This record gives sequence, structure tokens and C-alpha cells, in this order.
Amino acid sequence: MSGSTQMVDGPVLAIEQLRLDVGTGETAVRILDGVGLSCAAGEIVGLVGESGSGKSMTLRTAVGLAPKGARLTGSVRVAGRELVGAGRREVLRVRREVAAMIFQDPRAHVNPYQRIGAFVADGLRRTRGWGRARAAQQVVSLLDEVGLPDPETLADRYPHELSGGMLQRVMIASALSTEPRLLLADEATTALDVTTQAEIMGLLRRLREERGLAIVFVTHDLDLAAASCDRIHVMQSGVVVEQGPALDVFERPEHPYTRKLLDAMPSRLDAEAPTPIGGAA
Amino acid sequence: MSAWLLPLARRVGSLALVLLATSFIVFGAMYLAPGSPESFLVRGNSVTQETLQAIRDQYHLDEPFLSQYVLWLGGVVQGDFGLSIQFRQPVSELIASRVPTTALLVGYAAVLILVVGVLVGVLAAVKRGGVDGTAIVVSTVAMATPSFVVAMALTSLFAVTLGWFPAFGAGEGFGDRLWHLTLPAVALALSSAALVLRTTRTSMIGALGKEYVETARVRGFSSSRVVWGQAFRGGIVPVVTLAGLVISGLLVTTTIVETVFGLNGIGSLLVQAVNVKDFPVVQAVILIIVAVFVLSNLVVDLLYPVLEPRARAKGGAR
Repeated sequence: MSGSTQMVDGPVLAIEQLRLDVGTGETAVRILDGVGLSCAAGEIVGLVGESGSGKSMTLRTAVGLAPKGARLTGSVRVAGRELVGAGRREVLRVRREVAAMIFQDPRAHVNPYQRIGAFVADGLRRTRGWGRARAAQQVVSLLDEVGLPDPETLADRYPHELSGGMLQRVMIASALSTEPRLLLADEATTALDVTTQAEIMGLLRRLREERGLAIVFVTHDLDLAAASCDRIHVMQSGVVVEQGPALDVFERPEHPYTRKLLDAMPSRLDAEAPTPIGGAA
Repeated sequence: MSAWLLPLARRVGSLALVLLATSFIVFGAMYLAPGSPESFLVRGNSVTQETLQAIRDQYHLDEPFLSQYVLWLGGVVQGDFGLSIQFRQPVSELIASRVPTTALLVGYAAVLILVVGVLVGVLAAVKRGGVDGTAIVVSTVAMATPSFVVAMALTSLFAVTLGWFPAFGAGEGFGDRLWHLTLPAVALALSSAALVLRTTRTSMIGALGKEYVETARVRGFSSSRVVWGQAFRGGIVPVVTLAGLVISGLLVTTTIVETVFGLNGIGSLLVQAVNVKDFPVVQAVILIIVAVFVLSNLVVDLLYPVLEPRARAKGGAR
């Protein structure tokens, strides 16, 4: 089939003309309509839009997570592997070898019944077949890499004993454990306070530099995306309405929806009179 | 240490209180019940006043209620439940001879309940669709069918028509005993297995929808790892609590099942004793059933923090 992952040049993630429909007949709904997006190694791409715009759905297709009964057309290639229409084995290979994902609420996404060390080690033990001792050693260095203090002690604790920010770092450590080339961040800083949010963003940027990760960052916060991402895609109702270098999109938005998003930001409401939502789109 | 010992001591204390209260209620209920043991003993024969009086003296029947209770309780704490009126034999010996059959029967049923209930429950939650629908229908019927009906249906099909299993008796030797106890164990287990199945199914459907299970899927874990390594750990917690209650509750149902299948266990002993107003036996058996029930509750309570890290006392463990 498609060659080894290492031999493929070009973007780590390449989505083209992606269309996603759910339901049948009269109840059919088009969730994504012709979405295109790419992310190369060492690049952070922001995917911005309000809830229901399809940004999370787009992100999930990159790890083969489509809703039940969804029909996909177009192309989602991760390190050269086509996921649209792919079988379970191919999807598992992408999840194990190429892509990793972190989520909005680490408290819900980290298994509450496992100690931190066991949770992080699971990726290596279950998908690489590593032994307990070898995995445990690697876990300590991963926890250290994501900036968690005293990793040996921390590995022995349960998730409920940690703060949200610490858990998001644990989540990132577990995502890194299998040395992915693509990191998908689904609103990964939304649930955190502003200071922690900045720390996590700093960590992601550092990992991008050090590991050459391709990062797709989904957020509804255009300010944050502009400050942290290289390029931004703005999505509305399942369509990418605007894309370009982060600062261009932020400072010279071309699409009315992008302007509306920018005007709706609290930081701008102080300066100008708010524009009522619901005007001509 | 003390964080573990103190709650344990308090639980054991409350356990003792429950047993004390139970003993009083059990003793009082027999005292209030119509009829009297000496009338069973004489079986309608005309006996002299002296004979009657001798019997009344032996069982302290002329003492005031409270001192009868205290006399009885004093014996019970030393393991002396008195003499069976019916068998003229110490109650403790009588019960000891009956315990193995009941223990094997309940143990057998417990294994069936856990293996069938949990496995099919998980399977129904994972597969959904036809497997799930069938499991729901069958378990609804099983839960609604009384154990004596199940017992008679099993006997007529597997013992009388097909002749695969014996309809009566407990057998000799372990293998033969298991063979004899299969139909009784199924009859005893069926409705509880259905209840455990339904609880497992609901709990596992919830667990499989948890975000951390999604995390495991995204990490590329195999389906069986996702189900058994991630979802099952949290999904099983309510099942353990329920199973403790259900399995200790089986002792009550043994009264019916042992009677139907002619097994000489604790349950059939209780039924015989009630029929002939054999006070000391009834009191002892009920007390034992309550003690087992309360003890298994204690075990489940102690197990909960082990299964649920978030329920562990802060700073208590490790």
C-alpha cells in the first residue's frame, strides 16, 4: 500500500476536499463541506471557529474518529496514509505510530483509575510491547520533559490528586510517549486559567521546536491562535472560510465571519462599540 | 494505619449492633408466633402435667421473656444454640452438618452469576444490536421468574425429559456433588445473574462512553484492551457492590431451591424447622443468614476504596 511513513515528504497532515455527512434521506446533514488543511513538521496550524463549525470534527478525522454512521469523502492523509475509507488496521497504525491527540478536559480524558505513571506507560506497554520497568523509566523522562516536578513521586499518584494544568501536561506526556509526528490539540487550553494556558502553549511551542512536531491547534480563541500559530484556518458551518499566515488573518481579516469573530472578542469590546451578532453574514 | 483501623473498628462495632438487634427481633418473633413448641413435642398425645412441665423447664418456657432471651443469647455467644426440639440434637451440630451442601450450592451459583452476568453484560454493552436486545429480553424474563418456577421447569426439562441431571439429592464426592447441584445452582442463580447482567451492561455502556476510554482509542489500543483494560476497571465498581448483596441474599432463596431439589442444606432445614416450630433451629439459621449478609456488606464496603481511588481517605493510603 502506501510506503513507509519515513519515506513520505510533504505535510504530515494533508486534508483535501473533505466532506462528512451524517443521517440519511431528509435528515441528512452535511457536517464538513470541502475542508482543506495541511500541517507540516515543525508547524503549528490553528483551526478556529465557533462551536459547531466543524473544527473538532475535522481534527478527529485525522485519527479516524468519525461519528457513527458518518459518510466521508475526499482525502485525509497522515504521513502519507490515507484514512478516508481505510480499514481498522490502517487507522490503528496511524494512532499508534504517527498521530496523538490531547483534549479540552484532561480530568475527564485521563483514566481516573490508573496511577499517572501507569497511564503514561500504557501507550508504550500496549502498543510497543515494552516491559514495565523499561516503560516506567521512559515515563519519568517524559514527565520531566513536559515540565512536571519530581516525576518519580508524581508517577505514583492518582489523577484526582493533580491540578488541571498538571493533568494536561500528563496528557501531553502520554501523547509524546509513542513519539508521534503529529499532535492534535482539541481546545487543549480552553478549560485552563490564563496563566496555565500560556504555560501549556509555551510547552507546545517548545515541543514543536525540539521534536519537530506538526501541531494542529483547535480553538475558538482567535487571539490565542494568532499569538501561537504559524497559520490559521477559520471555519464556519463546515467550510474553511479564510486561511493564511496567523498575523494576516488576525490583522487583515478578509471574510466577514472572521471579522465578526474578532469583534466578538472580549478584549476588543472594551475599545469599540460591540457589533450585534446576527447581522448580515 | 490508624486511618484504616478506626473506620474498620467502627464498622465491626456497628456489625455487632446489627446482629444484637437481629437476635432480639428473631427471638421475639418466635415468642410472639402462635402455637408452642411443647405442643409439637407431645404431638397431640395426652401427656401428664409433669411431662409437659419438664419440657417447659428444659426450654425455660416459664421464665419471663427477657430472661429467656438473655439465657439464649448467653449460649449463642459461646456457640451454643441449644437443642433442636425436632431432632433432639444440638443445633450447632445440626447446622454444621448442613453447611457444606449450602456453601457449595451458593458458591456454585455465585460463580454462575458472576461469570454469566458479567461476561454477557460486557458483551451486550460492547456489541449492542442483536446481542444486546436478546440479552435484555432474556434477562427481563429471568428476573421476573420466581426461583421455584425455574426449579420446576429445569427439573422437568433437564432431569425428567432429557435425563442429563439428577432431580434430587446432593450426591457423593466433589464431581458427583457438582453434577447434582447444577440444576439447583442454575435455579438459584438465574434471576440474580440477570440482575448482574443488566447492571454490568448499563455500567459498561456508561464506562465505554467516558472520555478516558476515547483517549485509549485514540492512542491506538486494541478493542479488547479498550474494553477490558480501560472501561472495565471503572465499569465493574457498581457491579461489585451489587454482587455482594445479591450473593449473600442467595441464602434466603436456598429455602425454596433446597426444598424443591430435596437438598439437606441450611435452607431446607429452616423450612422444616418453621413447619414444626423448632424454635432454636429457626433462630440459629436466621441469625446466621443475617450475619453472612452483614459480613458480606462489610467486605463490599472495605473493598470500595480499593476499587475507587477517589474514595480513598486523603493521606490515609500509602
